[in-house]
Amino acid sequence: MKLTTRFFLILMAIAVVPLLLSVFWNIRQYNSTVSSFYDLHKGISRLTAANVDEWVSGTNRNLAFLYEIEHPLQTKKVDEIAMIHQVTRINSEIVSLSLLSKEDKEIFFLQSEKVMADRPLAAYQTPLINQVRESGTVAPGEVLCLKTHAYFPLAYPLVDGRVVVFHFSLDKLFEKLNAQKTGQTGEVFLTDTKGKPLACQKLQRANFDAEALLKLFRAGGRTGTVQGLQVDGEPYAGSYSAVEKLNWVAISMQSENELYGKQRRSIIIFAVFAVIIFGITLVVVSLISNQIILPITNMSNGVKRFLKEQHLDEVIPAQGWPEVKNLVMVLNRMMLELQAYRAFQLNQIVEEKNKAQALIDTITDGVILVDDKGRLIYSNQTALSLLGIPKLSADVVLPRSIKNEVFFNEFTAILASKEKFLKSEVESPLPAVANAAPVMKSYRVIANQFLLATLRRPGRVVILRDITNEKELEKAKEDFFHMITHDMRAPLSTIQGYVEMLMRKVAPNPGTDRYFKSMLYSSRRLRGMIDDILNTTKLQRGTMTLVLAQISANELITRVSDQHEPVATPKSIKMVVETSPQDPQFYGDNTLLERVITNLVGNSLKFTPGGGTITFGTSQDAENVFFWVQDTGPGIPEEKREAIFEKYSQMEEHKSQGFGLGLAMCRMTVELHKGRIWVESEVGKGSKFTFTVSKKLAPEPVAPPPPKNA
Amino acid sequence: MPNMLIIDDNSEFKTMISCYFTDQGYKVELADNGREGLAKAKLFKPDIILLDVMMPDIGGIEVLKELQTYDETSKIPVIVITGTYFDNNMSELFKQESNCKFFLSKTNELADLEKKISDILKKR
Repeated sequence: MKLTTRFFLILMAIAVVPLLLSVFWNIRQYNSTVSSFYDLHKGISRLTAANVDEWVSGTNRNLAFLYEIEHPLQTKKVDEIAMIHQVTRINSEIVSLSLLSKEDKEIFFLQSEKVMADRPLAAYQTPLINQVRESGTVAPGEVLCLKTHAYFPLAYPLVDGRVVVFHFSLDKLFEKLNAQKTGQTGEVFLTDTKGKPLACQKLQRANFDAEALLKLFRAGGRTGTVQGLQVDGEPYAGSYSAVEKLNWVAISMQSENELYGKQRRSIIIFAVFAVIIFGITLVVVSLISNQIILPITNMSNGVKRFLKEQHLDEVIPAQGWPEVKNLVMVLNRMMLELQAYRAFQLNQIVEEKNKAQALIDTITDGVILVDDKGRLIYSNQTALSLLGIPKLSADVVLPRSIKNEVFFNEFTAILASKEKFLKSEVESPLPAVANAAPVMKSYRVIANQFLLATLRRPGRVVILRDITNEKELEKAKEDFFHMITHDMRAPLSTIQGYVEMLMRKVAPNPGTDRYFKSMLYSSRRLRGMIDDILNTTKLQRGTMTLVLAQISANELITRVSDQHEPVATPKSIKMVVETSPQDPQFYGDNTLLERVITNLVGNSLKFTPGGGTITFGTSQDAENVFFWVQDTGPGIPEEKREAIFEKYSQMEEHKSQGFGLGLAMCRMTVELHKGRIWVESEVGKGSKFTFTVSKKLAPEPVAPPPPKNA
Repeated sequence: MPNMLIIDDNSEFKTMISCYFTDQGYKVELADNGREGLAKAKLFKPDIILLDVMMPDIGGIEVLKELQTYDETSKIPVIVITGTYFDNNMSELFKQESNCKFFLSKTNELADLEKKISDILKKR
């Protein structure tokens, strides 16, 4: 429901509705008052009628003596005059009495001085007298009013033809009746049956509409209500009641205005008040609507629009009461500031983006940012051309859009992986120049996860680096190395060969024996080093094949130990060989394994101080043969125990001795034998290098040997 | 007194081996290249041939195959010795020939070579 409507309804409920209710209440009260007043006047009129009846009864009693006159007792002579005098004396209401002969000649008359008339009142009653003569019954006449006194005529026809005309004074009766009038405007009076008020009633208002009264009498019964009777222009209400004994009607009424004027006015006032309040409510609602609600709606709409469209087309119109207006202006300002802030931020972002873009575009590697759904967030030109994507657009999805098959596979793997950091090397043909054969190039693909700022989902940054040159360089280096050392082999084997021959030719002699042994050992060592370099290259390329032959573990360690005697002895290092009682037999590459143990011993001899011990040992379990070389050298600190097996690693102190290739080669060789190599060491006490060789190695079945007869 | 033929273009190596084995009591013949080697093989019918892989003109593998085709030489055991880098494929290639007994590197010790040779000769 709109705010205006609500507000309106609230105000109505507070102000107008109670008023309306009191109006209705007032009307109810009014109605009840009206009926109360009717009841009041009904009572009065009835009472009045009853009073009149009683008075009439009273007057009738006065006529009793006439019976005596009419029917005198035989015995008694009636003195009519005296009787009349007596009766009039007793009854003061009889103000005039006339006795008329048959011929209407006045026989006797008696009249009070109070009656201010120059003749007997009977003179006025000629029609009445005639009427009673004819009818023969007593009859009342119309009320006579003379000089503000009211007289009630009554004619009584005697049997002898004479007529007695009485006039009773109505003044007291009228006064009595009049005294009962209610209020200021009340009237209690009598009318005849035609609605005409009897004469001489001291009525305040004389203009009664007899016709209207007649209508009322007709409408009601012997008793009824008087309503809306116009008297002097004012409406009167009351009640009438018919007098039983005479054809008179007693009416008690009062000005309606006096009766319920106030209440009516009150109702009207309340009603008017209600209307006024209603009007005021409308005005107030309209005012509030314009000054408060409309601005509020404007503000609400304005802000909504601003938030939706992200920029301010127009400010909210400032209208309404000062407080509201202030609010509007403040809101406008805030939106403007927000807009300015946003614009600033946007500029910042665009600037940063441009910076990043410039940076990335300059980098020669391919840089790609993808989200976790494979959508391209960013890619530089190098990456696009490597992947074979024509250009950045919204419908580019990785890995689907990658034209290059190698990278397609690579990206599929990257996007599927849950690992944070991935690194791999692939080879892909370079996009071919027209008519030229595609050149194979090597690429390193590095992928790292990062969190997308707005979405909190993991995205990936992928770097594609052309390492073709790098690899070629490495290969060239290794090839160079290899080539050089290989050429060294030939002269070296010559030297070694001749030394061996000399050793045979020359007679054993303690002096020269030592020299020969030394020469042999040195040349062997040199050859070993060259072999190691050449082997490492092979091992790394994965092109090394083992020449498997049956080996006796004990024999192997003994042989190597013996070979190193010439060096150990001068240093007073004791060489201990712990052969295994079982003498494990297995298949392995004799030459390579010899190189491994030689390397280990060589290291031990290098680092173990004089007087120390080097122990060789071998053992086996169900699956592997174990070999170890233990020395009493300085030991290897824990953090280096893994690193020493890396290629080119050397402990800082030993940089001057050797290439640092040995242990790397040992590991590769051992792993080719499906074994492991590790070191246990305690700094200051010594080291123990152990490696295993799997017993599961077996030489390939060879072609059946040729027939041996030759 | 066993006969030995050495076919190798490297004279230094040939000389050394020749000295060594002559000392051991072998009679040693030398050939500088494949053709000469084949000719001398047919001629002398040695008990054992030491053959080099890398030679100009005819290479080691061809010499090996040629030796097989001739009746006189097909049964002679050959030890292929190479001074160059060899890999599995090469050694397999040579070893497939029935007359190749061993495929060795020149840097192997002479004593080892001597042992292999005497083993072969014993088996004959």
